[in-house]
Amino acid sequence: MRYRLLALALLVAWGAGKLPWERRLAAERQVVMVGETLPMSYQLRDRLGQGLTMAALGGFRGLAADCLWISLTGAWEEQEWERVQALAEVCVLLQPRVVFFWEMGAWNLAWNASEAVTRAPVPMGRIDRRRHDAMRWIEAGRSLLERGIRVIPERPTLYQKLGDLHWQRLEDYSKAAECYEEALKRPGCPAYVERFVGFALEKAGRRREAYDYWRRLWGSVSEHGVDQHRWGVVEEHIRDLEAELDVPAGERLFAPAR
Amino acid sequence: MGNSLRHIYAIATNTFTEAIRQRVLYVLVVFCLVMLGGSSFCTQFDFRGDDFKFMKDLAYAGISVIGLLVALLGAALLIPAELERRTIYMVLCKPVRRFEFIAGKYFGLVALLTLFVVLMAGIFFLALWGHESALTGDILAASKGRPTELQAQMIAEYRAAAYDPALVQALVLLWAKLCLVTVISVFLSTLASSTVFIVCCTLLVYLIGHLQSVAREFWLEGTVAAAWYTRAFLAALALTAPDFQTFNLIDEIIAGNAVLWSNTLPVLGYAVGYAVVALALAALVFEEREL
Repeated sequence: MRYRLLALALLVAWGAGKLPWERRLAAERQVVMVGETLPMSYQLRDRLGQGLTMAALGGFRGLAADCLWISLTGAWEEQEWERVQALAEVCVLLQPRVVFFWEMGAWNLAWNASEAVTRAPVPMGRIDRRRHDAMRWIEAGRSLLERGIRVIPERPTLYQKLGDLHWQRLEDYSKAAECYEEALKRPGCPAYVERFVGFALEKAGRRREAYDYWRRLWGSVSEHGVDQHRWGVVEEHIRDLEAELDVPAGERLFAPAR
Repeated sequence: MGNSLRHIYAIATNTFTEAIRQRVLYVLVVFCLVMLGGSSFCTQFDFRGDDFKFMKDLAYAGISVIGLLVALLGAALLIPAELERRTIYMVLCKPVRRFEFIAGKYFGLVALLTLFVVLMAGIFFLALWGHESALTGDILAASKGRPTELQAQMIAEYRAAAYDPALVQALVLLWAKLCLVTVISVFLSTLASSTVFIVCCTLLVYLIGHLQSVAREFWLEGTVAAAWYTRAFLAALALTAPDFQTFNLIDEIIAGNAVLWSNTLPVLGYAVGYAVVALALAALVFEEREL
């Protein structure tokens, strides 16, 4: 009996001692897994079924999210866009730090869903309904990307995708240029995105700013032979803009072609 | 002290040898090898941008499940079997103390678990290497050895995802989690002699451990009104069960997110602390058990 009482005392003492330790570990984990405004368990309990919740909490969140994503692919094939959105939301909830779920979820909504509703048959005189529906999906995709950026601000991919969305879906080229510039500030951003900023500024009609940007880009390196930066394209744009903006000969980077 | 360590080592070695001879473990190993080897065939799912994600998730889930079964069955089969076959008397009639017996059993099982995790991880890394070689080989063949900017970036991403050293960090955490399950199983086997009971109870503790943080916050924050018995139940859960959510860092690491060793080491420390206390509890309970 003496040993059992000792065991009980040890258990209680350990329990009391481990609680603050566990809370500190949970707080640290929260910092690693940013983007959870509520404790994960409460968010999940609200959105998932009991069985999946157990799996998610049981250390199989990754696999659960993957299986849901495969299910989302099925919904995408069936063009069940509401289900696609719901599943994408659960995937990003299960694994908020996985760029793929945010990126591809947004692509499904802002590109696929919005295109599909644009082509869907609508009653006569309700053409504006299509536009409204398409815009709703584009906004849903944008919201997903913006939330993703808040969760994973250090990666360039979501900024790049948001830039694509502003360019291709909303035709807001100035905003696209801003997003591409933000992407470029992050490590690991592909080199071609630096050209996208110039293209977007030109498309936005901000020719002078585009010219200044191309010049800055050209001046950022002394060697222009590296193929992946496509310096030939940059030079071509600088030449075109110098001609279009009628830049004085002394200020030009390249002498006009004769 | 030296004698004690020698006894523990001898019992651990014996436990390891005995466990390795159990046929059920071989079935589990074969099952896991098939699962890990086959995981590379499951990479054709629509995971554009991260071809290794499903493979990694499946492999870690496989290692987790099989490791859990090894931990459960190892402890639940070995200690009750010693009692049933009465071989325990042969050990305890020698100058071996009961806590040495429990510690030896535990460390023997930890050695078994380590072997399993290392074996399964080795197969998984081979599968990763094979898949990465196939993917990059396809790109290089298509580009005739001169990949474009985008292809070069894809190759770099494949290699970074496949040869991520943080995967070892996740394995260490997974191993620590399985060792924690093992110690709980060992503790329960000192209380009961039925294998089914021990397996069921350990599984329950495993499930409760994943919900422990919910119970803890519910009890400590007290934002929701609850009856006293509900609060007492939650307090008991929070005080006794381990918080397995702490090991959720594994998911983050597999997802390719940077998790520092400074975040990992406290979790390992927690696992060690819990294991030491659970082992001490097991020894105390076993000390008074009528054999």
